[in-house]
Amino acid sequence: MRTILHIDFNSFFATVEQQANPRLRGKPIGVTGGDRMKRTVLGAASIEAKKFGVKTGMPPWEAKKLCPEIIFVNGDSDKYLETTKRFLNILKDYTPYVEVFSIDECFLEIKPSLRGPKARGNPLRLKDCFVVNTPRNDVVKIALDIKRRIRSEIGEWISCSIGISYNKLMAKLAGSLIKPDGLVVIANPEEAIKILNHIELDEICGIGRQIKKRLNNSGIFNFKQLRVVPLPALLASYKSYGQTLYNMARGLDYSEIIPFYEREEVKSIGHRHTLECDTSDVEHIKQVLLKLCELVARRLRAKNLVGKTVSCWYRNALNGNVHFTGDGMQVTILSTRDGLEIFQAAWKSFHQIWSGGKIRMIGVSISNLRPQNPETISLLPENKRQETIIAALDKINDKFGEFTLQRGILLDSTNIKRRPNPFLSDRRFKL
Amino acid sequence: MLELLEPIDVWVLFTKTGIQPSVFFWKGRQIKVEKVNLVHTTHNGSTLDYHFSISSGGNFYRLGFDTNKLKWVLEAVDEDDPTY
Repeated sequence: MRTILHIDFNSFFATVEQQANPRLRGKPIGVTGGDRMKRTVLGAASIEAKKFGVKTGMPPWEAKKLCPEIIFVNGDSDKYLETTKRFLNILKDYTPYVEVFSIDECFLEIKPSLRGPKARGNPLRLKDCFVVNTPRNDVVKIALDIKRRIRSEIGEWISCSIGISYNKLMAKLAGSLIKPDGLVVIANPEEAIKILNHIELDEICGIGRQIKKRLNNSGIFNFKQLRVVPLPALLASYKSYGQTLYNMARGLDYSEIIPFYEREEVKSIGHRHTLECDTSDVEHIKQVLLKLCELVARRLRAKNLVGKTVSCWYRNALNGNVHFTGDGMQVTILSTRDGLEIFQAAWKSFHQIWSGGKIRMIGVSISNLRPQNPETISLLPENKRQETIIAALDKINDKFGEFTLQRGILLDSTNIKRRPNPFLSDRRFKL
Repeated sequence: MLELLEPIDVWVLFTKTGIQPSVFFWKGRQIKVEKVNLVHTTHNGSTLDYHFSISSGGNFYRLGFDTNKLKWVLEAVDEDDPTY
């Protein structure tokens, strides 16, 4: 049977801020989206704030209503990413099978292997993998040691919940059962069934609100009822996802750990930006979109990729509505890594779908990616000149900072900073 | 919390584990670093900056070190009795 640990930092962003500034410890804090309070949501709420019902994703005004004493802190993604790196350096001492699930969650697999010394403090080489036939209480000791090292090597305020089980699904469930600072073991499928019988359907990773609703509409309100449904019936209603539901109800999961050093193929690169205020100003929207396209193009060039399917989407201003509306469109062009070419395609799409009303957010992405091959480089003098200019521009921006040199039209444009998303996307390999 | 980018003088210890600010000078005060709570880095182009979140006398300060220019700045202050 496999041995999987799931490690989840408790209220990660907020905890890191409290570690940095002890004056925030023990107080309700909400981490907001960087440099603005308006039109942002909470990236994280501290354990103290959560007691008032404050949640991640809540707008600050709603958080303030629930918890008047809440302190808002500007988010700092560099700080969180650095903390994650230090955390991974600790985990690498125990096993090379570390999967980065998000900026604050990891899976570890402890595999039986050659007996060898535990490489404490030193990078673990594959042949030094340790502990043959790991007894369960040894794994608990590993988990406690990880907790101890996080506190001593990263920060005494930083805590995590750890779940231990025989697969990823159950390890993650185990980790979610006690927060903060929990340590729960689900040793086998029999124990898993007992726990599944006492939780809601959407408390397990992989069943969200929509699926829960669909299951409820079919008369399924818990895992006991889900287990009774035959597999063919689940496959008929949910296609291949039906197998996943069947497995979940029984505490089964056969997914492998994908180690962080196995670089995943990038499928698309994109950026979006919520505007400082709702606008229908064409020139302003154009500037923002061009800037986003330049960011996308920079990342393409950094990875030596070209792409040909450009997607553009926007979100309308709320205008008194409760739910966001918007539209999107994608178009395929000749393979490119030029920001201006991406922009021309995106702008054309935007004009086709935009009704002219005020918008709140705009985004662009490029997919259908492949490596830039020497054969695809143009020999036309004007294209070669463009490539040379862009290469020089990239070199200068690499050295002196993003947008040190930029297109003239962007000189007075909104400052857009690239932030890592919580699932780290292409930054994973930089860890 | 006050956010600023004020050049400051810092006394620094070079230890086995790395560079550590020990005392810094601000607004005519000599402030002893009692504890370094967190260190993180940022890149601005090719320049690597270090940021030290420290405590002193129950107050919080963040010091920044530019490894290219080898200069220190005071980036953030959160004090009980602010003098700013």
